[in-house]
Amino acid sequence: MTQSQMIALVRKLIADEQATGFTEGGNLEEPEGTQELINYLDRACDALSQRLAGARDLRLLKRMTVANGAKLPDDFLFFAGNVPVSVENGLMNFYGEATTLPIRYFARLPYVSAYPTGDLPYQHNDEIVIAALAATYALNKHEFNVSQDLMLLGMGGAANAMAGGVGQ
Amino acid sequence: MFPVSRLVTSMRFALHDMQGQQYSDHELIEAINHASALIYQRLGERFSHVALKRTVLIMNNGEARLPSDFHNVYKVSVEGEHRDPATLKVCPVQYRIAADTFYAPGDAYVLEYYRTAPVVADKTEVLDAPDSLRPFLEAAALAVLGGSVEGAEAAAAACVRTHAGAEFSHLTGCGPLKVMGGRL
Amino acid sequence: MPWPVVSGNKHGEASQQIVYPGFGGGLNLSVPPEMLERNELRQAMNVEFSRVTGSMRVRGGLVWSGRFDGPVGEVVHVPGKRGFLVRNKANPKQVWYFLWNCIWPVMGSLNGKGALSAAAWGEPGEVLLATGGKLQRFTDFEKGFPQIETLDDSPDECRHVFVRDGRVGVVDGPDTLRFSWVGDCEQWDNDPDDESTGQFIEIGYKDGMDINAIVPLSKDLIIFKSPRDEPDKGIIWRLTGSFPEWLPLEAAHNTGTFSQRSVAAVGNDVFYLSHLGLTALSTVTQYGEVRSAWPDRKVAPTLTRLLRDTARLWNVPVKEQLWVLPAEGEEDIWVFDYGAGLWTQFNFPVVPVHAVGVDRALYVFIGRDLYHVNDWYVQDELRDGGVKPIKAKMQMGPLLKGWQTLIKRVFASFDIVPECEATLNVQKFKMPFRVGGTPDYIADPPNTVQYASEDDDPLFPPGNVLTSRRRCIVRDWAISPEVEIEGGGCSLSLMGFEVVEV
Repeated sequence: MTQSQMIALVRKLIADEQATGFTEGGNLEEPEGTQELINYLDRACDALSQRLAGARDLRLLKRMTVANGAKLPDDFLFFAGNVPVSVENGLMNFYGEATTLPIRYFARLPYVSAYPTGDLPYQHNDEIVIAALAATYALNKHEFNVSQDLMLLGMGGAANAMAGGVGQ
Repeated sequence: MFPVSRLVTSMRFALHDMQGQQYSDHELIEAINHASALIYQRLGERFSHVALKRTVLIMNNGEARLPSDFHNVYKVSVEGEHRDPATLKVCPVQYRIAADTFYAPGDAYVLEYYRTAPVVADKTEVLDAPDSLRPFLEAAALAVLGGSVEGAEAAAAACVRTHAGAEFSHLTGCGPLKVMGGRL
Repeated sequence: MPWPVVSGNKHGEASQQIVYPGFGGGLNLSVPPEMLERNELRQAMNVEFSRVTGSMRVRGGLVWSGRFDGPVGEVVHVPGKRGFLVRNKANPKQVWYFLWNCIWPVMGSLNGKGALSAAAWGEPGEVLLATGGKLQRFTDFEKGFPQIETLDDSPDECRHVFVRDGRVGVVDGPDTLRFSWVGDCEQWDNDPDDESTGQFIEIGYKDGMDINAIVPLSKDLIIFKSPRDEPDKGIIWRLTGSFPEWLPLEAAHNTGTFSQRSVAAVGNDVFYLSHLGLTALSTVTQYGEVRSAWPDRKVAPTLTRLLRDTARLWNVPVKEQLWVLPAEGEEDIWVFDYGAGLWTQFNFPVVPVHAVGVDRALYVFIGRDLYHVNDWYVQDELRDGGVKPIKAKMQMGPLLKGWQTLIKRVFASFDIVPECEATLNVQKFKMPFRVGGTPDYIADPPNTVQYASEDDDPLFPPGNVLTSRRRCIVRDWAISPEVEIEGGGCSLSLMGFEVVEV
């Protein structure tokens, strides 16, 4: 699915195929239009990532090379297990001496906004959930009661709370 | 001597964490080192031969550096006889140990000592411990990971117990030479 | 993973249905748009109330029927024959006769320069004509071919010919009604001993006004007199009774009409146009008195500003409509449906000169051409200028709430033919009226994702021919829905929204 197909899917889910609810924007009430929908999609990627990471989903596991003074990766959620790396100001440093053992972390799913062209790098089931979640955010803006939808997505209430940044 | 990677793999199997989602390799290596330290400590306490190591000290002007993994002395012996240079009579020798240096007259001595635990830093390394220690190391390391002091101690104790008595041996069948050996 | 349910109940009790239950209120320009009733419109162009469907329907299309040799001036219906006498605007003496879809030249010519008026007298096909000179008679094929002959014994200056009590009457001078012999239109002289000879009566003698229209109403004759160029300062007279007991009575003051062409008799009423708008004179049968009513209340603020002395009023009985052309040169015709009591507007590709309904047919004269309005035609077929689809538009009053309005669902019930394209527009959202379902497309500029065919869309299967429903998200401060139709053959019965204030 490409980014525009994803946006089309969200529009379909919120019954806004003619782009009247989220227009090109430019006014105070609807400043962003299609950009607004992309923002909701990114937010949905975040929420889904938090949930998958909380369940220690393997698809989010990534290896990083650590050099003293290097920045934390943008998609960093938390380390897999305890590792001898300290993080301050977003910079990593080894505790003690460098080690050759692999240092792994759980990474957030890439944002929809990062792929203006080409296929999105998600599995199909993740695509559907991301679109559905973005649709609930969009409907929520128009004051629809979306608690039922969130429950169906398994995202209601505490399940959607942010996981910690460190450890499990 | 066995490669650490195999130990790590069995530990992960026991922890149900083959993909490394819960525990990093660092933690497992740390646990293995802790377990090794504990076990060797307990072995040494019980005077088990497993913790023993033997080396030859070459004296240099009455001094010799102790090995880096020296923990406690077991026995010092000398090759051949020692003769007093003045009287040329066989006489006993006195040695001193202070910090990491061995002081004694003469040329060379055989030192048997209890060693400190072997440690590793990487999965590719080989752990310098007998293969018979492996299951106990594994059990103790798992207990360390789980935060269970009792579990680790129990593993160490079992290790010591099962390795005890190995020094007793006697040869069956008499012959012209009778050798008796065993614990000192 | 389950799809989310976009349900309309999600705003709970705040959700509201707004239904437009037909448009029987017609055009209403007399209140601010926000105050319109749900069955009223703020714009109703090229639609009429249809008795066939009981709803607002696009007007019929023009079908060309004939071309005259010159521009059409005035038209007079020849009763009993379904024919018309058509006066040449370029040559006011010349008249053509239109019958059986043929245009026949007429022998003889009109002898006056004034407005043409006619009254049926004698056999079917015989019509008396007055144009300000002597009275003339038209016969169609009795004498072999259509011709006009002058009645030499009639008064010299005859205008406004009419028939009453078996006599022919004409207006002669500013105040005088002159009558012929009973039963004989050729004799006009008076014998004081014989009541059945020619008579006359003066209406409003020396009041400084001229008679400018005459219309029979019930058993009376209504006579409009106004000062020249000041029709609204006139007096309306009623002539009751017959000679010799006839009695002119003043029926209304400070009102009047522009000309004979701005009055029409419809059943028991006389409608007339003045600077004040459209007025109806009705009889109150109990007393035989006459009372005024103002049927243009809903459109008067706009209509009255447009009325000029070239205003025209045309009666189309087959549709129960009165067509008002406020002034020569105005492009829109105001249509009053006196059966339903509602107003709409028509716009033709060229402005009509005359419109007349004969039996079940409706004829419209435009330029040099005669057209016939056919309800089953979905476009206007012009003689020059080809075929133009009829463009109709209905605009409703705005939806206004305390804060923004969110429209979640739109539905409409309608009737449509495949040649017609109609959409309901709500801000930028469009719901087409389509036979057999609505195709889907997704708007996401610059790419659009479309379904390969109308049947592919699983969420909106081909539906009922007569209704269309869509979900949408339209959110704005004041929302003005409108329906745009291109091509005829479409009628709209009902539409509605589900809205919530957000």
